[in-house]
Amino acid sequence: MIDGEEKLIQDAVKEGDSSAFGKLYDHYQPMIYRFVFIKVGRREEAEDITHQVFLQAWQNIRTYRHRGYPFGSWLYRIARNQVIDHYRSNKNDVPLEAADLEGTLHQVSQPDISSQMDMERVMAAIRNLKPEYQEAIIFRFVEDLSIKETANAMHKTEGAVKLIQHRAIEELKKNIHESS
Amino acid sequence: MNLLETLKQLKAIQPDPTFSENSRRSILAFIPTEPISSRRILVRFLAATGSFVLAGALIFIIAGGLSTTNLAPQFSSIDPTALHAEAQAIDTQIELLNVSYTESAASTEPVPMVKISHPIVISGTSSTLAVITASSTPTSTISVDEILQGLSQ
Repeated sequence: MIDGEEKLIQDAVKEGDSSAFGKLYDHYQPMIYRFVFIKVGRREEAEDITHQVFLQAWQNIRTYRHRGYPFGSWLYRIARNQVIDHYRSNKNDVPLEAADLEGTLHQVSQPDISSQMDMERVMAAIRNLKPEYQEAIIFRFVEDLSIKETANAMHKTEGAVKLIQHRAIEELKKNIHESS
Repeated sequence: MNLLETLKQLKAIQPDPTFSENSRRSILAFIPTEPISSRRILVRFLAATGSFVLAGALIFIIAGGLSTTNLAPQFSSIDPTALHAEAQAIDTQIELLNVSYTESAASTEPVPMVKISHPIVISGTSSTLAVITASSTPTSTISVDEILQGLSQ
């Protein structure tokens, strides 16, 4: 959550203030992009879906109602639905193995080749998990959200998140072991 | 491979800055409009229907209240037979007035008799209805009723 997020949301929702939504875009767009990229594994598709997520959010900004969850959880929900739609329309085009990491990694923290290969293997293993496990891993270990923030983003209780997170890690380890 | 460490490295995934800038610009160029949700349509429909129902109910109550409190006793006291008898009496008086007028007119105004030299044909038939002859100067006064009676014979 960014500073003054509630005010920005209020300006965007009530007055259709594009500059307020622009600030929200700047803050949440990298997170949504990572979330989508890890799920689909291709840069172009991740860009298309991310664009659609924010376009849909802006088009429907006046329907947004604050129900105690952060604005990001609304965006994640739109992103989740967009990814599901993407898989529905491209049933035979789902990359299960290699992810196209080239051009997507931050220039400053560019990892070595070995690390990149590890990342690609982990991403492939994540994509084999069910969506709930994927999201728990992305929120807790990639985005480094707290249990409470993850629970808010997933609309679940903290206890449920702990359980899902534990099972997701076990399943992920199993997938990586089987693929190597 | 340290799994948790590798997962943390995934945070290095970033969107292309050019894509981000173009996407941002094209999204914000769109002007969001007030959505017309199904809920809003339902509320408007209910409001319109409700006003009609309320107006109808008010009219019904007002009309019903008048008929039961004010008008009904007045109607119930009217006797249809008496009304009918009164109407009959009015008609009779009118007829009597006409008759008296006709009689007075016949008795006071003499009708000059003229000779009808040609037969009177009614409705294109060839039958002769009546031929009346009279002298050019009347010798007696004849009422209209007597003339009509003569014609009918």
